[in-house]
Amino acid sequence: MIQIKHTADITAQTPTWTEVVRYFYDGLNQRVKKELTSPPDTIYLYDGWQCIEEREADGDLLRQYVYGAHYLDELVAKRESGGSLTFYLQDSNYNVVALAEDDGDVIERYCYEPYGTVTFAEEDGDERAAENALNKVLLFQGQRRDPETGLYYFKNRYYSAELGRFLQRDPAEYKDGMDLYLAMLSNPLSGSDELGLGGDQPGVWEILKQLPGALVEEVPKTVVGGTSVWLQRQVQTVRAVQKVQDAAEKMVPKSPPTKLATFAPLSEIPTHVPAKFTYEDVQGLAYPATGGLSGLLDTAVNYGYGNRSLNELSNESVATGIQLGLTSLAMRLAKLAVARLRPAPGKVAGDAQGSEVVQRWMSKDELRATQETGLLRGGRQGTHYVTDAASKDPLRARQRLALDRIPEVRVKMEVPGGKFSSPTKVPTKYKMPGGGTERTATGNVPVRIIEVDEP
Amino acid sequence: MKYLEDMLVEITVSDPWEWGTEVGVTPLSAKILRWRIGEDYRPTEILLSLLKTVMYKGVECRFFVGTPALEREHLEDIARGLAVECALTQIPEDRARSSDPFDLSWWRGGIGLTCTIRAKLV
Repeated sequence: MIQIKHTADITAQTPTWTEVVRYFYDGLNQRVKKELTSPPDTIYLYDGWQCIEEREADGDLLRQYVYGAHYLDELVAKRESGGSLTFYLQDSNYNVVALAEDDGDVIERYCYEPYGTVTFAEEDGDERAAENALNKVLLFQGQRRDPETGLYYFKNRYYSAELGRFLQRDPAEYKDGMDLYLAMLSNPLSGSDELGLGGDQPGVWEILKQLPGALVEEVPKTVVGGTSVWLQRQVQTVRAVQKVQDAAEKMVPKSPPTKLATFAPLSEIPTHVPAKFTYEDVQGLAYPATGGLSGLLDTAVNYGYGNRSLNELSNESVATGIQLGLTSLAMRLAKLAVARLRPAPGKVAGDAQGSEVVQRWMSKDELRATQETGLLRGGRQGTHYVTDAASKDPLRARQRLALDRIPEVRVKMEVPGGKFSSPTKVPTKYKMPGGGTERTATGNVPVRIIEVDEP
Repeated sequence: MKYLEDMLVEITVSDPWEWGTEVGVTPLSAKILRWRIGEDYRPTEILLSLLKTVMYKGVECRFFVGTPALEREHLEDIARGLAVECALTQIPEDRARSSDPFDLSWWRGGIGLTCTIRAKLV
């Protein structure tokens, strides 16, 4: 229970507090009752997280709400106990912008500042005093505002439109960043946060629209908010597998045309995938986080509302979710097939017999340890980095190999053949351009020092 | 749903070689606090916090920004249980707690580590 009290003079030595309101919650953190000092008290009844009815404490119906199928806070209509109907008109971010009667006439309009401070207006646009507003409750992003406090109830915590911040820490903690009070990732114009568990990642919707396949066009607003991280993961998987698939197409004859990029169901995995899969393959690949084919069900549930049970989802969203899961599975299988076709990247290159000469820039202390032990890097654990040909100039070497400091000595060494990976490019890091190539190995690497070059 | 956030990882430092002399060769435990997505929808940077602060060259090291050390490496492989070669840049705590801890435009040299990161089994 939360009690909110008000005092006229907080600086007084013994301020006189007046109780304003009490809120009561159930175990799911849903607000089930509001007690005002002047009745009637209100009891809230929910379907999932959607408040579908308000009743008085004695059980008499006050009003009912109807929601759309595409978003948790997609309000459609309100029916008062007397039978009168009003309709909510929402913008693309589910802000209630107008209220209409059942004959379609607008009876009230709402304007918002970016973080949700509302201004009430007559149907013709003239400002209306807040106390005379017809709808003081369901406003910014379709969320419930408490007129007595001016705060929005974002289901898991309260939000102050004036501050543009939540008043409690993010229950999901650091999911969206270090600021636990941040709202909509500071992007309230296009971001939303229907559960108060952290704003959706800006641009996820745009990312989805860029993906191939008609399915993406059908992805509803439901995907943002609590499930956005999951979706990003799906998008990354799709992108990653598409790259692998591109590589695979260069290796195997392209017939028949692949359908992976258009979200093919499992039954339509291209026949050119040259591998047989065991049940264990599927079990492990379908959805590693939850494991196996049960992941498909998880996918379906996530596609709908992250916290609703399966029987509350529409057939359409379940079907789409399963299709997404199957697509993910198909792509993972394709990736496995490709992985079986070619050697793992970065692994042993060249002849395992004989020896080869490599170079490494290092410190004098490291050189000493190498000389003493006869092992690269003095036998220390970790990954050994060498290059086939390092620049003689330490500054140039620092740039090409993107080192965080200027190295001291360049050492040319003979190492066993087949120990080091094939060369791979060094990216930009430590503000150095990179562009050189390095090879890696782990474990003890015996070395014979051929030449030490100290600039 | 979480991806890399809050993942506990183990860091084995390869370079600089002197790190092993001064700090020790035991792998360090750390937590991934944040990650940033790149244009190809892959994580490009991670923000790490060591579970135990260490001192190196007189600098208190706790927060690091990590990027792949080689072009073949991908940070999302950490979530798949694979070892990933990373380049870590040490950043001070106020930078780590800023709105954009991945911004290293201020960096003019300091502690950089080359290391192997893998998910820690608990």
